[in-house]
Amino acid sequence: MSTLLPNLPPNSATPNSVPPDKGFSDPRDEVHWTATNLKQIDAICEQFETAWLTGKPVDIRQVLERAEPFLAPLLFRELLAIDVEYRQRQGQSAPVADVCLAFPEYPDIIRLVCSQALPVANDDAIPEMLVSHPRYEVTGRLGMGGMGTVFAGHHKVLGRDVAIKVIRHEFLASVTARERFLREARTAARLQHPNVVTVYDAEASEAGQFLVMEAVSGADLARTVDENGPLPWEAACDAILQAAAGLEAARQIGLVHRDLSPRNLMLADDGTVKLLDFGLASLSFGVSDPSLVPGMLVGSVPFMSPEQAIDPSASDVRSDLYGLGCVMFFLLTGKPPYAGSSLPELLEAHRHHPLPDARAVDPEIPPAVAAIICRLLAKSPADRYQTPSELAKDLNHAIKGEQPQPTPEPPATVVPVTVSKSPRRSGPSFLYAIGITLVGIVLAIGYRQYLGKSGLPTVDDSAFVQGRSLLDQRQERQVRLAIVKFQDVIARQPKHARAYAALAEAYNLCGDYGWEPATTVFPKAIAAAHRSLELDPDLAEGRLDLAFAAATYTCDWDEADRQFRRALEIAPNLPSAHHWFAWYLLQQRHFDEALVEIQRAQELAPDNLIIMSNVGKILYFSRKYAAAVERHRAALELDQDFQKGHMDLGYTLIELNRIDEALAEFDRAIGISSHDLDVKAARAYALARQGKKEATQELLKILQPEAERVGLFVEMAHIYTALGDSDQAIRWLEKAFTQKAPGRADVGVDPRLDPLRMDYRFAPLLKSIGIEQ
Amino acid sequence: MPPSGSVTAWIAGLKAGKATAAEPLWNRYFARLVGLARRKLATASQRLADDEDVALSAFKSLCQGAAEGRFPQLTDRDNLWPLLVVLTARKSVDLLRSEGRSKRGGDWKSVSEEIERIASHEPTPEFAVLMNDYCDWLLSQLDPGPREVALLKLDGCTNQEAASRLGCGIRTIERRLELIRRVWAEIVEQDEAHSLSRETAR
Repeated sequence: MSTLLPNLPPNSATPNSVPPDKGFSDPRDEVHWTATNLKQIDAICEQFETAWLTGKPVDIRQVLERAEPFLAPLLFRELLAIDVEYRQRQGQSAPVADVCLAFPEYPDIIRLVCSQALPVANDDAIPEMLVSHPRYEVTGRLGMGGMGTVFAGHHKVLGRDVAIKVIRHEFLASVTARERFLREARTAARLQHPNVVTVYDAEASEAGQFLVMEAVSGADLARTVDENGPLPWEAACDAILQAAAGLEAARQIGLVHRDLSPRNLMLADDGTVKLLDFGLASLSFGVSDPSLVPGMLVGSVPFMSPEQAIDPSASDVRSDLYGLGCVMFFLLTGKPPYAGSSLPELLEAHRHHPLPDARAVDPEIPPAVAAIICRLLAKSPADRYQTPSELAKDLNHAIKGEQPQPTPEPPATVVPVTVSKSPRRSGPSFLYAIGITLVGIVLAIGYRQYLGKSGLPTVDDSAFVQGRSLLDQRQERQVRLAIVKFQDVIARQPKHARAYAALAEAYNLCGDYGWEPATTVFPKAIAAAHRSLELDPDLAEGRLDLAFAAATYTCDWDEADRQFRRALEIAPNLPSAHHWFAWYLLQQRHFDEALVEIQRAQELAPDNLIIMSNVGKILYFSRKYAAAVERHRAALELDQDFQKGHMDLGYTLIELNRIDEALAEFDRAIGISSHDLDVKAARAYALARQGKKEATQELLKILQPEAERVGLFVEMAHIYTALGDSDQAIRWLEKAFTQKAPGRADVGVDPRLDPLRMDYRFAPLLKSIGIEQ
Repeated sequence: MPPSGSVTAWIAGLKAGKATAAEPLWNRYFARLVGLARRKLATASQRLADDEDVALSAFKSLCQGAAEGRFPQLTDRDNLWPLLVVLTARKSVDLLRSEGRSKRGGDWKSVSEEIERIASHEPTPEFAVLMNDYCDWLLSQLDPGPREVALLKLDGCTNQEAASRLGCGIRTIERRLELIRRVWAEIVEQDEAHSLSRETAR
């Protein structure tokens, strides 16, 4: 049956998936790029790269905006590739999630660049557990996917070539995840079929985990189509027929693939199609690092069934058949059936949009084949083929040029929208789906629980839900983007109370983190919060926003107290309410109550990194340093790239007089985000505590001119306190108070300022914000 | 349709941007060209006091790479040498025709047939001389940045080696290779248009 596949260029040296052709021009580009165009782009890229090399990376969006618009797509691709390469040099992973959200106009380019992004080959990239393994020897690198890196390997005892997929640590950080991995591997190993890449072996321990598979010489179907264009319909049918045979074998032992996409279908050099990565998709359900999930979804969502979007774990073979239908559409047309500039849009399309007609793209496709796609892509699983064998039967008929066998409900050529709506799955549950994939899995599990109690947002809320998940990432770029989203929602729905409250929260965060001057951004937060409460006086988030601004900015403690308590009355299970209330209690020197509150927040949102790290911080401010270290380490175990975590751990270690260890933590914090000045300030403080006055002064030379601009007032006071220069320290504190810097409310409990407490100028400062020493 | 594997097919492939297309030709030419290049350079350095001129020469790079054993096999699709061989073959046909020397029996063979004829034989010393000059001229048409990349690639460096020598990213090497191919392709296109108009004028 494989003879129907086209003659492809031999790929004998490239088993399994290998990154496709790299280069300047995209073969699918319609535009003809002249040497002059390419020179322009080269010059811009050179500047962009120089910026990276000098440690001052520039924002891609800024560069794009200055360039000529028609160059934008190609320029974006090149800039992104440079960006990803330099990030990888620093040991960072490609910021897929950020990029997808910031550049929704280029999903294909992002997918392409990020899938090509291979780390600079270095030997230590081969995981230690494989370096001197008793049975396996790594002979080369084959490629990198969402789950990890694939190596070419050799079984030393049996003498056969294998492919070894090393699963990224993030997927298997916990013992339960490792157990699930081994369980899935065991099931997958039972599946022996010519159309499935056989799993030979698996290993999982603390040191790492990998899966050993049959080595397949060939290319995946995504690459095949990318390079050679759509397949002739006979070849596409043949490929799907083979895949269906593999799926049927899996079904018989109760195995579901869950992540069918052209990347997971290997086309071997002999024309055999083999399904790859059975069961691996379930590993993503328990991922702790939120940035990974959108990255993994980039490749899969265009091929994901509507019901999987609702609950990724509840899917059966009919979901796989839907995925296979999407793959079939892709093989025939070169495109997945639905396009969307954002994740929610794409999910929405799978659920509600009428299926595009493949024959409109290519009239050569016989009606019988188009009908098969329609049946596969039926919105409701009950309307699809129920087993892969049923599909195989129709495919065989279609290949022979016969009409498919009549079915109880013959599918129309294009599924009308009305058919697609099943009454049991209406709007809210779809939004709940986004809630799970974006808000739920990604971060705010607690927020989802709260949503579940106080009503789900309505269908029009995808922008709002998106904004919320951006907000929960607590990073400057994302929060700014969230502000735009919420403003959008408000422009369309001026009575959307929750959008006003979320906007207020975004402003609060900008002020608290010092991304915007406090005096301009907090008043905006307060205004938005008031507006939200005018629309809905019982909105817990609105109360919380007011409380936060009162505690952080106006230092109006009565107001803060009142609003916090009201918010908690309305929503006793809202994690962020307990979280911020804990900070307020801490500032009031109620250390024990603060600890109780933050622990409550953590119980409500056990996977929330920010809350976890703030448990450590509250312990630090309560002078319980050893316990604080433990918490900070736990947070870092979840995410090693958590910059604030390294900083807070460092500061805690200093109080334990482990200054060298602290400096090592600060070193790890460098380069994770653009906020390296904070890290420099931390280093200066550590050096000052070590008595290294000269080194501290050197760093101060860099910090001094920048500190005022970025609002590092309290940090400067820390450094001068450690240097024993109370005059300078007080001067910086005074600045913090006159400029209403957000950190000033913590001054009363800050251990780093303890030596200053006896200074006659200290108490009046605190008194000015209503805190008695 | 020319049979695949023929020089004509390689040239069609080159126009479509597939540098691997010229690899078989290069493999046929490699050893002989290195020998010719060595001799060519020996005479050149006697004549040329100015060493810098030689340093910027494509042939100098060829000899250097070969001496350091850097051309074991040319599976690297970003290798520029096969491309240069084909471009030179084209050029030499063009020159022959403009000199009227390949006119036989009053009828013109097609360009592709001529190239086929040249490429199916071992390179002659004349071809080496032409190649030396033409390659250096092609190099001179590049801006300094891409030219550095070209020279390192002609030296037989991998993209990664070139990147670490120039202190830039691998992506930059890839991007510049694409730029180099485009610049050269446009030169060839102009050349072609030129010789076409010459032929029509005849």
